Amino acid sequence: MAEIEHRQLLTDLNTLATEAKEPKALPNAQVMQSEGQRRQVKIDVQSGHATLWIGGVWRLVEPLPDWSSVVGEESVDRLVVRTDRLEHWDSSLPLFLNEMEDWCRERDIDFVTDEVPAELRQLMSRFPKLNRSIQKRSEEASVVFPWPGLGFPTIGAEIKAILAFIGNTFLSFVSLLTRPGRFRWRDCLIEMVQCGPHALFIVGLLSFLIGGTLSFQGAIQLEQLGADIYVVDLVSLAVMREIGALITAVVLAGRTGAAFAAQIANMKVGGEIDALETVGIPSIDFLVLPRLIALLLMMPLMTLYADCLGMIGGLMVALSTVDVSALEFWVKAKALLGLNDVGLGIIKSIIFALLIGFAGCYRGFQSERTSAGVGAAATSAVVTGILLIIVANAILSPIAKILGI
Amino acid sequence: MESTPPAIESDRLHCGYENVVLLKDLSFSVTSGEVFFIIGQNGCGKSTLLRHLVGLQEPFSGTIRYFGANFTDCEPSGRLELLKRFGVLFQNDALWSSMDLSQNLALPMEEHTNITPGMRAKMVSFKLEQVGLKGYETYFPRELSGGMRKRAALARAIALDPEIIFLDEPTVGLDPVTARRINELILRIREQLGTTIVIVSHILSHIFALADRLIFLDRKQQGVIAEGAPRQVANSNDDPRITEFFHQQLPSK
Ligand SMILES: Nc1ncnc2c1ncn2[C@@H]1O[C@H](COP(=O)(O)OP(=O)(O)OP(=O)(O)O)[C@@H](O)[C@H]1O
Ligand SMILES: [Mg+2]
Repeated sequence: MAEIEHRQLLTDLNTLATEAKEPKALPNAQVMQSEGQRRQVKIDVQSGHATLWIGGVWRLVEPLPDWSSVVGEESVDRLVVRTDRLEHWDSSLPLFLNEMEDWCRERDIDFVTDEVPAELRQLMSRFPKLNRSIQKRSEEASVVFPWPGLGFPTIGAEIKAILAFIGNTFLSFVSLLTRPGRFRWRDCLIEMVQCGPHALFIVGLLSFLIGGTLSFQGAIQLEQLGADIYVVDLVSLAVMREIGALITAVVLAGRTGAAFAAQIANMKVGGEIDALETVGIPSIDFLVLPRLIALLLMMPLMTLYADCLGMIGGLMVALSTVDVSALEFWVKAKALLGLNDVGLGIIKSIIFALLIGFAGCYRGFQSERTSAGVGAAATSAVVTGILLIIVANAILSPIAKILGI
Repeated sequence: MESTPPAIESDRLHCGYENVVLLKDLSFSVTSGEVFFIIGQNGCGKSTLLRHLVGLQEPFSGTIRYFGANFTDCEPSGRLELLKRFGVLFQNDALWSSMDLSQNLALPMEEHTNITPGMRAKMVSFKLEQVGLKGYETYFPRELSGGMRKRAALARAIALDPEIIFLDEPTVGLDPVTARRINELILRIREQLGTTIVIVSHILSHIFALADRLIFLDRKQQGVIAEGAPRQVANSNDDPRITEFFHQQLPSK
């Protein structure tokens, strides 16, 4: 009994399926082949009365006809839509008709859809009337401040936030001294590898080339005065006191500062920082201190390395441009350079490390919880980091001179 | 009035984001050892309420008390003491992506217990086994499926055997068998440790299976529109919002 019913149902379904398929299958196959068969939009105009014939197959993913080209230049006061030969349609047709209705309304044309199937008419009315002015305003609003993280109106609040961040980090550092076992050495080591060995090549190359360039420019000028040997003074003092620390800092601001910001911002997006806070682990202890300390330990070493390569670059160029031997260069530089010159570079590098670390971590924490926010955080960490480094250097160099360092 | 203070007590809480108030004058309390559900339609503020309860966001006004102690206006150190007693499962697992599962689970233990690394490893394996993730200690969150991540996050939430567990949609995305295991685990934890459990969920069968009591939040009303035992709320309420919510899968009984 049940089986018979079941079979009956199946045959019913089968006939239904073939019935449904038959009228559609043929035109569909043609549509695929010939562009013209796809859908038909035709307009007949007779003394101000237009009839719009719509037919064929309408699919949203195929190009919609351009409405204005259909209408042409005719002046019409009444437009009747007929859909007698419609075969298949999706939401593209109601959308098209809705656009047309808007167009007619703007021109006081009667838009008559009495002949259109009721379901199509009902769908047509479901599209909202677009308010174009609103759309535009929200677009404008998003480009008011093109500078990530440097919006001037909030500068007071930002300074407060930065000071709070630095203060918290300091407190966290003090509490670390009382419980050194809690420090996350593993994370710190990972970061040290990142900002040390992994940056050796680029820091070395840049220092070498800039040392060489300095020597080259110096040699050209000094040669005219017959003071070739002073190239050694120029190169060694500039590299030790300024260039070594600066290059290291700029490279690490780009590499490490950006990485800090991106890592922290990404953790914020994923709710990982919230998870830390609810486990009762202050995110500063966990995220900022290991990174900051890694930078503080590696920056001076990297600066010494940059100093060496800068000197080597200077020496190489000097050997080939002016009349100085390697031995002379060495003796002169050794006599000239004191611990104070190297020390100044090291002191600067420590200050730069703090600036890069704070800028990177702070920008990370400050980031929005979106993927765009992560990118903006990294960008603004680099911008802030380099800005701070150059400004700090401009202040530190004269101070060192005054103090006689 | 009971003699012991309730585990959680919310007193005229106003919560929301910067310029949106989502919930107004929210007062409820959860007795110790209760399985308490927060339900309501998408976007009514359930996850937001949890964020307030665990101190990730400050309420506009009102207070939250745990075991009688004020949590909202509390010194950072006192808050830390309370936080140690919580376990939180976020709606999006929020596992620490740079650490594997064993480190994810071990970190809270490292911070708040003094058990040896060997004991910690044992504990991690035990917790992972409880959520059906035995043998996944060295997997990173990115190497797990969505349901497995959810379970790993649950394991992290119960890592410290907390006194209060907040679970935001713990069984969403889990297959029915695993979901039932997790529900059994939740009940077992409550039974063995007397843990207070706050759950956000939409799955009616789980609400009926687990909940002692629930509150029903509504977005328009900005607050609770029904409170009580699940059957009582479902059956003896003719508010259309509630009947509609419970309509589909009322259990036969
Ligand atoms: N960061 C935010 N800033 C402003 N509004 C937010 C933010 N996050 C969420 N909201 C708003 O708060 C409301 C409640 O969000 P919430 O995540 O608490 O909902 P929910 O009840 O947990 O929903 P679901 O069942 O989908 O998880 C939503 O309407 C949302 O628009
Ligand atoms: Mg939610």
